[in-house]
Parts: sequence; structure tokens; C-alpha cells
Amino acid sequence: MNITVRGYLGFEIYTNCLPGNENLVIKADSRIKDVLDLIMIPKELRSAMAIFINGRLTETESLLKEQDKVVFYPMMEGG
Amino acid sequence: MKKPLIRKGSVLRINLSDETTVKSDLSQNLVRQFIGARGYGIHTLLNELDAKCDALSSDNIMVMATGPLTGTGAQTGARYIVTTKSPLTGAITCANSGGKFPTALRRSGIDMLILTGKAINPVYLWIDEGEVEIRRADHLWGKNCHETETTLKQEIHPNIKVASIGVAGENKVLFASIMNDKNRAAGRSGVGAVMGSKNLKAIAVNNKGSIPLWDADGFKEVVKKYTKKYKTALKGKPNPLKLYGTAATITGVQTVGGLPTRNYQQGTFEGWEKINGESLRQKYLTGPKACQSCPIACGRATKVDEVGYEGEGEGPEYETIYAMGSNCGIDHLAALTKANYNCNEEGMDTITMGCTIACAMELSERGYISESDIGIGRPLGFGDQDALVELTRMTAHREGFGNLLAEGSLRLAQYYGHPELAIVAKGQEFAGYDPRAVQGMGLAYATSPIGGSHMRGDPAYFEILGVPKNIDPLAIKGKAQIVKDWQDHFAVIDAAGLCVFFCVRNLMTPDLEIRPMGITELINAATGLDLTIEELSKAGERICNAERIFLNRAGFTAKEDTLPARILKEPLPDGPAKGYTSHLPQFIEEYYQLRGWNKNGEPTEEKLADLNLKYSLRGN
Repeated sequence: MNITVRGYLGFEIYTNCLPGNENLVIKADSRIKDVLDLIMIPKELRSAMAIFINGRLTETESLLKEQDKVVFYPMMEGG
Repeated sequence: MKKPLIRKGSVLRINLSDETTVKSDLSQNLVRQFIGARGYGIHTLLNELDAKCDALSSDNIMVMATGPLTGTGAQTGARYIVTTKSPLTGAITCANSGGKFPTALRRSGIDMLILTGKAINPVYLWIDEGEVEIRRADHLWGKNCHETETTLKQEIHPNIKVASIGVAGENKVLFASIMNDKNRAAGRSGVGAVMGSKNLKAIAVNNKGSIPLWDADGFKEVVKKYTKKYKTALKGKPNPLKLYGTAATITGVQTVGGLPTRNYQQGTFEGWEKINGESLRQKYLTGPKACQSCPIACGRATKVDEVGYEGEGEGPEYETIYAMGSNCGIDHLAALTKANYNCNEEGMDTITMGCTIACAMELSERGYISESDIGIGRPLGFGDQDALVELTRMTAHREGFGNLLAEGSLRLAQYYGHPELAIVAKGQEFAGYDPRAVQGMGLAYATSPIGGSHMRGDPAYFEILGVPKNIDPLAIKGKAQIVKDWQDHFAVIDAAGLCVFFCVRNLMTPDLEIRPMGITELINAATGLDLTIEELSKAGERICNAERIFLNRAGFTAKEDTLPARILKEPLPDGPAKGYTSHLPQFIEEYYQLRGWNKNGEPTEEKLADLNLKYSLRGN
């Protein structure tokens, strides 16, 4: 299954190594947490980040589907 | 038990008409009930100002007040608030700024300045050790904020701190701001125009003296405890605000499809990566800049060398990037940074400035404004970065078309017969979050006492930024309660003299109520008032209701708690929130019930009694 994954605001270091900085092939029935494992995001960071699938806020247990666009960035104080 | 510490003679009242000054004390009861800063401001206006007065007449009153934590060494305890009747909206405004000036004001013995009347000639105030001199400012009139500050430092001493208005404030641009420390702004709703209408060019304060604390050792311990908490929470994690400034926010807003683009005609901007925090850091950042006692340093010192846009200063912050960037269809970071510098130097709110130009761009593209009216030698359209820079200058000077822009987007759009194109709440332009994609924000805009603002309980925290937890920005259920709680607790932060950026994650409870746990500890150590968290929360609610009473007196009712037709009726055409409109009508009734307001949007007698505000029923 092909998806794109982009990290921002300091988390790009986990996705810049992917082809095109974002392309990832994953197994069917993968969840967000599987992707975070694949790109090696440390467990201690996962409670302090916002994760989106196709622009909708999501959780680490969410299932992914073909062509999903995943974006994540660290929690921040405000703008 | 040691008596609480309330400074004597720290309220300074200045009648600019007859140049009389009176010093008085803060009462312990006032501090308990209204805490400080924003609380002192609304308390004064509620008791002394006719809410229906002309905001630019000598009848208006301007209050500049610090909080009990301003200048104390508490993290981000650097802020003051300017409260007055707004010439832009006709409602109250309470514009907030940090930097070093507020601390210097407090060090000079002043907790609250109350300015009434109007000086016959341009004047500035010199404040030293609690004493004030009213000095002629003819030689400063016509100078911008940077020149004014430089001149006063040359004349008095390089260490003094200055708040001033630029040419925009002198010209009563309806969204003129008061700038301190050159680039920090009490930005919104035209506080600079009110200062200009009083012929008051600047306030200079000596940066000497100390701020007494009730329990200095205990206070240090509380500060230490929360510094440790902050550092522990960040250990090993990126700190976006420090790395990228508030410009970091654009990533989240674009992601959820709530980035206002081309006067709110779209929710995503194709050029967003050219104007985001990473681009700013890479191209123009010379260093982060911190307000007094701030461990975050979100301020951006920047320098632009590109020909035609050269300059040096601070910014842009996220709100400027949205208003002058995506909302104007401009992805040219140098141009919008230059336009930001113009606003800082001349003293104007970048949000209203950018949004008013965006409104003009749409009016022009739809053929409602002629090319000759605009007078820049070409039609005005989205993406015209040079027009953006030029129009900011023309607005400050009220030159040509700038004279219309100086009135803000609602009056501009009304003038051309299309008020529906002004994206405002209560006449003030929104912050950078489209309420169709960020539903809680719509309720916050509609019910904010100052109109479209994100700083009266900012739902972007939980709808976009993940603090303290993530909530679907498109969801409705439960948000009325959260928005109400956040409005009350942001009032506490403002009243204390703190900045929300540190407070929300570090000094509040880590739940969606964000109760002011750490702020209570700090205020008690600073003042000895022995307040409970509940008392402080109630003070926040009291401030919000007092502001509401002022609005009701000024003629605002439930009818004005609304959003433009574009937001309520036109679905977003793009992005993750495609097809959504704001669900504000579904929030409002529940919100009023939670507030204890009747269907006209007025606090009930029971609510006023509960908040010790029944005295306000006698009116003013």
C-alpha cells in the first residue's frame, strides 16, 4: 500500500530520508503506530505530537488506506 | 501572618486636558476580584466611562495596567494591557503587549495608568519613581515609533523604555497600535488611534526600581518548580516556537484546511511553504528574541536584503503571515516582511491591515473598485506584493486610497456597497483560522468582547496544535464548554501579566479546563492574597462578564455575536474541510446557558450576583 508521510517543525528528520521526502510503502491493514515504528519515531515523542490523515486529526490506532497522506508535528504552545 | 502586599500610590491618574495628576492606592478587594491588567482596565471603564462615548473624543478613557506578576521574574511575566473603547469596533478593547516596557513601568512604581482628557498640544509622559512629568512632544510629532524611541533615548537615557504611537496613531488610523521596545505591539482595535486622539505621542519610563514580593524566597521556589516542569516536558523534543517562532503555526492551519486564503475564499494556500516558519528561519532570521523573563523566545529578529524590500526589524509572526500572505494571495516572504516592518514602524495592527488589503483586493477583482480609486497605476489583485508594501505606507499616512484602508475592512466594504466581503466579527478582522475548518474558533470570534480575535480563549491550541490534547477541529459537541472555560482562564492569564504561550502548557492543569494552578501559586507568593484556584477562575469569569456588560451598554446584543455570511453560508471549496460552513448557530444557545446570559446576550441578575457585579446594574 502506498502512502505519503511528512513530518514538520523538527520532525522532518524522520521523513526526509524517504523517497521524495514522503513516499512510503506499507503493508495492508497498517495503522498509524506501525508507520511511526517504521520511520523510527521514539516512543517518548508520541504523546506530544499532533497527527493527521488527509487533514483530519487522528490517533495512533487509526487504520490507513491506499494513498493516505499522513502529516505530523510536535505539540506547540500557540501562534 | 504577614499582611498581603499591595503597593501604595501605584495608580496614577492623569488628566491630559488640565495636566492634573492624582496618585491613589489599589485596594486589596480590587486585586482579589479583578487580579490586575485586563481586570483593572475593565473595572475602571465600567465605573467611569460612558460606553456610548465617541472613542476618539476626549471623553474616552485609556487604562494601561500591569498585572501582579509583571516584572516579577515569573516566566513570561512581562505583559501589560491597554484597555479603552475601540474606535474600530465601538466595543471594548484590551490590547496586550510584552517586551521590556511593562516591567519598566512597574519598576517605576506604577501598576496602573489612567489617562483621561486630551492634551492641547502633542505631549509625552516621563515617569520616574512613581512621579510623572507631562512634556511637550512637538519635536516628536511626525516621527515613526522607531525614531521616537531613539530620540527619547538620546534625550533622556539609553536605558529608558518607551511606548509610542507612530504616524498611524497621529492620523487616527482606526487600527493604529501602540508600540513598545520598538517592535512589540499592543496591536489591536485602534488603541494607538485613541492615544493619538489624546495628543499623547509617547510614554517614557525609567527602568529603575524594584518590584517587591510578599514572599521572595517562596516565589523563587515556585518559579523554579515550573521551570523544571517546562524543561522536563521539552527534554529531547523539538521546540517549534523557539525554532520557528509563531510562524510554525502555519503548518497546522494549512494541514487542517483552515488557512485563510484570498480573503477567506479558500482554506488552503498553494504557496504556504514559501512563507512558513522554516523559510523564515532559513532566509531572514538573525536571531530569536525574548520578552522579559521568557524562556521561549518566540520573537523573530529578522533582516531582509532583497532589493526593494530591504529592512531590519522583528517579525513576521504567524498572524501577519496569514493576513498579509495567504489572505492576500502573496507567497513573497520578503515583501510581507517589509510590509510588517512598515506596520511596526508606523504603528499599525498587521492583522487588520493585511485583511483590509485582502478585502480591497477582492473588491477590486470583482470590479467594485476602479483602478483610478486605488491610484497605484494598475488594477489591484491578489498576489500583488508590491501593492501590499505600498498600501501599508499609504494607509499610515492616510494618503489617497490609504485614507479608506485606514478605516478597516468593514467601512471599506460598506463604502463600496459590499459589506459582505468584510470578514469581521463585531467589526474586527479575524485572526488566522477559518472558522469553517476550526469550528471552536468561530464561537470564540463571535463571542470575544473585542471582536475577531484568537487571544480571548484560543481554540487553535486544542483544535490544531495538540495542547493539552487533540480535539477534532470539525467537531461541535462539548466545545461551547471548552471555549467558555478557556475564555475565562485566558482572562486570568491576561490579568496576571503573563503570556499564554508559557501558561497553557506549564501553569495550567493539563486538562481541557486549563485551571490556573501555577498562576495561583505565583500570585499568592507575590501578593500574599491566599487565593484559591477557584477564586482565580471566578475572577476570570468576572472579567469576561464585566467586559460583556460594557458591550451591552455600548449597544451590543446577541445579534452581534455572529460571523459573516461567507463563513456561515458559503462552504469551503477546498482542503480537508471542503464542504463545511461554520456551525456557530448550534453553539450559541448552549454557550449562553453556560455563561448565565439571557437570550439577548446579557448576564442575568443571578449571574451578576454570583460574580459580585450587581453594582454594574446602576449603569454608567
